[in-house]
Amino acid sequence: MTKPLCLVTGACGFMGTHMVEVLVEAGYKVRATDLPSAYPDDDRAAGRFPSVLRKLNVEFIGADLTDPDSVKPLVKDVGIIFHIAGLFNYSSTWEAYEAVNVGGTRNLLDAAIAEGKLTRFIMWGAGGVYGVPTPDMLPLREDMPTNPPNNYLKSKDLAEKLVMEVCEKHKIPYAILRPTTVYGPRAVYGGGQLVMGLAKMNPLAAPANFTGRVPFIHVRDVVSAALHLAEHKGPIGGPYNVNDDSQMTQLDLMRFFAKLNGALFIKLPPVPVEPIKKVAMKVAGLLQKVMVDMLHKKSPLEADTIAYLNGDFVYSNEKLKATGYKFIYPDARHGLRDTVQWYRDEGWI
Amino acid sequence: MSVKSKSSSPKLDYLALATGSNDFLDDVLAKGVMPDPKALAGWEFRGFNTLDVTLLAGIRKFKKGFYLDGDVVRGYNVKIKPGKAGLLDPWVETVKNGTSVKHGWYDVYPVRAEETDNLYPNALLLNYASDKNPKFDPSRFLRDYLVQVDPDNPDLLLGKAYVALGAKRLFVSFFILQRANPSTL
Repeated sequence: MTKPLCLVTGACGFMGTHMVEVLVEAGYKVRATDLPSAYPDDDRAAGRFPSVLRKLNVEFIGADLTDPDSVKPLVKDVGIIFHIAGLFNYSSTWEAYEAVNVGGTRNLLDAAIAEGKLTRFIMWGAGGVYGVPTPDMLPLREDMPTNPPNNYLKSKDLAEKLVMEVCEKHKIPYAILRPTTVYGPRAVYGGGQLVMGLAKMNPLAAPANFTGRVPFIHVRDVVSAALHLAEHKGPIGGPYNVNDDSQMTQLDLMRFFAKLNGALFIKLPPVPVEPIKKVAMKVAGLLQKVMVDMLHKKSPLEADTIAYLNGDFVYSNEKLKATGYKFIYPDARHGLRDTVQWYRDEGWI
Repeated sequence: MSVKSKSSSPKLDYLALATGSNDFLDDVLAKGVMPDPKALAGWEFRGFNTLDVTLLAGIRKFKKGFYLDGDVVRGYNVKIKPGKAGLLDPWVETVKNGTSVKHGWYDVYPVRAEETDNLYPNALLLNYASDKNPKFDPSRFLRDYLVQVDPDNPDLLLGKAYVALGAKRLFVSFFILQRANPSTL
């Protein structure tokens, strides 16, 4: 049986290039799309790697998902959509998030449904939509209410709800992935920043009360889970947490990187986390104002990132596992080691 | 309510052992099987001490070699250059007069119930009270227990080092060994 044509949005990015690689390896014909400006050259700072697509020789159509006219050619004959494209930058405005993450998703769904060939829609949500959990919420499960704490997550939450509503109305099998801290080769922002930062540190130190657990997922597991759900013979639907089995505390994580780096690990006395967070968030807020509003640059310190400091995040991955998905990297230590090796080999660190 | 662990057992490989907690390693050691001493002879293993202080002392990484001396298995340590002590860095031997620096010699035998060093009956004992070490060499006080963590994998070993002070035994560090190359003795 001929495999359906797959559309991957945000295809030039970190996640998108991995998705395209996995689809090509699995024998699918892929149509890749991203902003036209993303395609000409690799741009590590922007997290764009179109050379991966060129090497794989996949079809590329440049498009802006916020423009309905440019979306129509993307969905022609497309059976499965892997909708990765989104704005993920804590320095952005609500208007920009709304236009790209919600409006872009709406345009894509409208066009695909009008085309009439869509059999599966796999969308990238966000593991952060539950908000910073209290101990009684753990582990975070997909049937829990969402409580997005910032504009980025609010826009992803709205986009998730839109997909649920539209796909259920039109009876299109769909899945919403909620990846947690994604890391892996080519990661620049988010998990990439964290891993590259830790891999360069010597010594490493953490206060003794930094026992909050850090959720992780390797990019290869995210895209493999996406393909798994797209191919799954049984019913699929709703959100899926995509998080590995490891539950490393922040202390464990620091200790792990110390051993990986050959660095000294210093366990500091406990510190008052909440007052530190308050001060750091104020500083970050001011810095963001100066950087974004005045200099029109991304801030190196973002208040929304600090909100996660010493949060305890445990995600249930039982729903995904119940579909038969087997993690490539169930233990983040192996994935992190391979990723740091990749950064070293590529001269990124 | 906080969920402490619902994760599956971590895969027992070098990385998991080298970054595991003492409690985890104690459990693995207790469940390990005795390595075949004859299968160790003729090989060197790359080693990693888990105790952080060993990094400052420049002995986080090392190699352990094993050889047959008549019918008896004995062993030695090989010094590794301390500069690159990370798990991703290579094990680079300290070389003197064209050969790797060997020290810390020990006898290898199954733990004997009648001896003081009988904490882990499932282990081999590496006893450094060997005449091959200089009379006042502090390594003479070392006693290592050694187990194979997976009965089907003779290439991965877990050790636990103690210092012998009279009848007292002080825990020093866990260490991990992985078969690396034929003995250079």
